[in-house]
Amino acid sequence: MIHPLILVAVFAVCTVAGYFIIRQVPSLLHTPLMSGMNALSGVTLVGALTATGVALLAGEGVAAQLFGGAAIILATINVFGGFGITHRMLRMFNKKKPRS
Amino acid sequence: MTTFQIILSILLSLAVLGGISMMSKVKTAVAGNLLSALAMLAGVVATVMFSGILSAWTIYVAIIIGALIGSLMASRAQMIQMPQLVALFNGLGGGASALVGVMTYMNWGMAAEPEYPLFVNFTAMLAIAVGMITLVGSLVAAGKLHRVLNQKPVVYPAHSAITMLLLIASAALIIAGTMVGNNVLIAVLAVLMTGGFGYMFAIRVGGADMPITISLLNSLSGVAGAIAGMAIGDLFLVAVGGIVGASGLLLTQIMCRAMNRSLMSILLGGAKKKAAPAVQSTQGKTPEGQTTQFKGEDDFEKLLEQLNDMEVKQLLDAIEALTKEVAGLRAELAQQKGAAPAAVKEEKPADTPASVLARAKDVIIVPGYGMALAQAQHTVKQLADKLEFKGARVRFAIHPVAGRMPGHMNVLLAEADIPYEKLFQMEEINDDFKSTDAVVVIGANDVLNPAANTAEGTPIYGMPVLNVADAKEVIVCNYDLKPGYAGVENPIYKRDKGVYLCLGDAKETLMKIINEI
Repeated sequence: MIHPLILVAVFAVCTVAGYFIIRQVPSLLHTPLMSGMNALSGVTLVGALTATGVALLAGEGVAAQLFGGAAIILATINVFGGFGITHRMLRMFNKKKPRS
Repeated sequence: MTTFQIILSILLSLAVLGGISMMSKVKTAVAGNLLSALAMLAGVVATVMFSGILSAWTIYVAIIIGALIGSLMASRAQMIQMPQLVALFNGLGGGASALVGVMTYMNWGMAAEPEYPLFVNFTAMLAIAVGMITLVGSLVAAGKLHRVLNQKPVVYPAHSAITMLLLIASAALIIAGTMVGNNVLIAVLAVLMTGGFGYMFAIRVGGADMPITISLLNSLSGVAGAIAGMAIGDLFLVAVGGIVGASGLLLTQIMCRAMNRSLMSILLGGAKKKAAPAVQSTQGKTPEGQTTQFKGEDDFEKLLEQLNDMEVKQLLDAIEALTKEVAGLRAELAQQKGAAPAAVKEEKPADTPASVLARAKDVIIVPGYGMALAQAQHTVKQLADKLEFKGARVRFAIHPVAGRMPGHMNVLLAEADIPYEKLFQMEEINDDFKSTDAVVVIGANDVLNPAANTAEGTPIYGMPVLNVADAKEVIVCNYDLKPGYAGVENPIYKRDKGVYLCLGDAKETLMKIINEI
């Protein structure tokens, strides 16, 4: 297991880095940005997978599988739905590029 | 975690950051989104491979179910449903984080006894808390946006006290859970209390504060993910969660600045209460109907005075004129009564919205949430095309908080094929309103209400607004003249010159104008 302090430090660094990169995004693209970020927040899928997989292999009970399965489903909906919608939106912005 | 895994996590996190920075330009945004998605996919695959759970078949079943539902929802949804969908997805992510928190707290997902039990317990409890607030808060927001819940702010008796109590209980449970691990009662109570807090905080938000709440919840879902990542010790999860948390916070900050309100006042609903007296004061002015009545009486008295000095013939003439006038008034009244709920055209006969627009060489269109509701963006595009065909310059003025999520108007107008070069932010275009020939307002109210500069104590006081009031000719295509969410009446509607009110469904009224031009 990684030391807690390292984890907290990584969190802090990424927050600052994200803050500065995202600041450049114009308000025109705020909705796709938000929706993209929303999809990214489904990254918790990684956690759901680890927890559920380990629980199954360690022979934990049905409750663990139910919770884990629900977590995976919710997170996957978030990821697929989020990226899908973002993609649709961005294509709308882009489609008239060649026309104009 | 091996060195290779750590390096991979860092690389993938950088790819996510790269993807996001590519989203700052329209040209590269699609690729940027795909890059983020790919990085995420790689992260998921790497996790499955490295945590030795390749053989755990249940995870694949769950992934397929989730992927199917998610893809279906994303491809089926109409653009008008975008805000509630974003809110819904966001809530699901928060819910997933909360579940991961529960599992970690119950030590279900642990291969071995954790090395740092206090840290694991604390972060697991925190993941439950933030995840549940995100889940319930987002569901309430989505419900409000989808119109299944009351869209106005709902305030219960002792709302603040209950909210405070729930918050304190949540904090106490987090501490208790940190000390005592693997306790079902604490986990259940924590889920209920934090969920309750999420409900109480989201239910009192309404209208124009929605974009802020959504972006705040968006930020929270990232934070929840990052905390869940800390609980299970996953670098990639912590990194991406941190990035998302920062982005949501930044967006929230931008929106707050655009409305000139502090985040706290929105969350605690402070300014909302003060709105009441301000509305009353505007109501104190004599309603229009009454003034016309008085005028009628005055005229009648004058007529009577004149009658005294008149000969019989003149008297008869006057009576005839009077009857005519009464008949005309009656007809007008009947017409008003009959047509009042539907689209009433109140413009002056000399100038119609169509004739004003036909003359105009420079037009600014101001869209608002009403355009989204009426789904009028395609009709707006037709109007813009027609005006441009006649040689006018057409621009769109987008207020930062127009609509129900950040950038809402931009998406809708993009859907209607309106080039984004024609969309202007408030600061860019605000000085041009006074020189433009005509302004068309479509379903917008609060974002152009000049009362924001004067009506102290109202929710919109101090909010920068579009200077529509400076324009010579304003055509308002709103559903009605009722004050917007802020509850502050818009003095533009009462202006006696250069205002044309086309009330009713924006799609229909716009169509009518387009046909008349």
